[in-house]
Amino acid sequence: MSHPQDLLPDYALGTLGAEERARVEAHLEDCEACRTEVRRTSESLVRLVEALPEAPPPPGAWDAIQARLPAASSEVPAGVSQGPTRRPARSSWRGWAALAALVLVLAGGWWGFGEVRQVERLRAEQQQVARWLAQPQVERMPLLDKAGDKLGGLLMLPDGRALFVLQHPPAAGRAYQAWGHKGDRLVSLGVFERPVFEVPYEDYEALYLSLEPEAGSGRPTHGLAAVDL
Amino acid sequence: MDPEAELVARLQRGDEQALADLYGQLGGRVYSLALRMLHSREEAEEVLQDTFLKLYQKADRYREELGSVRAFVYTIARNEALSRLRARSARPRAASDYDVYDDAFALASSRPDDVATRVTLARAMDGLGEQDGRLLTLAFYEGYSHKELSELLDMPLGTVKSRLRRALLALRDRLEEEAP
Repeated sequence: MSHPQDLLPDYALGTLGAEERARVEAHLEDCEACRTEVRRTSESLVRLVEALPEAPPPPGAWDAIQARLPAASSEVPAGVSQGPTRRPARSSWRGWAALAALVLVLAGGWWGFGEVRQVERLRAEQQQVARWLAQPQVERMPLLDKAGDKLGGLLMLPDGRALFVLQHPPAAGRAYQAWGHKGDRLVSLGVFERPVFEVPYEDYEALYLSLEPEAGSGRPTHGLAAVDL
Repeated sequence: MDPEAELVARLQRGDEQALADLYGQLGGRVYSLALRMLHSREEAEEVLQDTFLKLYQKADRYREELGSVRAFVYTIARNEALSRLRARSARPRAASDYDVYDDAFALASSRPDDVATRVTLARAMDGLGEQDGRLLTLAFYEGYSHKELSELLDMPLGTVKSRLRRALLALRDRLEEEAP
């Protein structure tokens, strides 16, 4: 069979009509030489694309794509219980949405007139979690205590921000405190009375979570969980 | 296996995170190509969305032996943009008309490897000669068909096809010479 040399560049460009394309594809099934030709030409076209200045995609485009995907199964987070210091397999974001909803339910309790603001705050936290989950490059991992039970989760973005999402607010009179481990130092990343809070993680080897008095501590007194970075 | 080919393999198994990762890596490139071809942010965003949806649907058609994942994705994007160009009644006025999306390109990255790619390509295109370079630009970035180029440039159809083929192969050879 003769090689459709004349058609290969147009095939790589995607400009062949349906009939010619089918003919070329049938030929390519059995011809390594022509496949190599197509591959080489395709790579030149990649360079033509990548020579263009790269503009960032508009915000919300990924959300729209995700909304149009066929509905996937709603599996629970596939957290691997390997203790608090291992990074497990990624989990379904729908499991995380359920966790965010759980934050709203458990932390909200049952509210009356005086707690409208609390509800608004809880909704804001839920929206914050949802926004993080919608980021295409977000990494997700469960936070486990020393017994391997789930305390909540950690979301991380490539820009160096992490979001703690805990199942329960701290006990009355106490606060969560986050720490960054760097060399031989533990750096306090903040004291938090809410179950959802953001910390920076860049430059640290690990993040720790502890339970402290309301005003925080100079060093962790009651360790809860750790995540190696 | 190439990391991007690995992502497509996961995508073939229905892994949405793999699509998210590919979007993270290639979304900007796809959007920029569509913007360049369509001169419209709105339509470029439509192409961006449709490209990744098509990628999700057609992942099982990817063949590593025919080219990289990027070539596969950019070809989907280009075909989406070409469909929209064909559907339009009016064609873009000029290859140099950037007014509509100036702002977007003001945000464009200037990573060192991008600049190097641009310089390498510019050199390779210069080496093609003015007419063949223009032919390739009109065909690739503006999406003109052979027939449209023949009318636009007042050139016989057969000449358009053979010159374009020759230009693409010459560009390929020059880029391969420059490659590290």
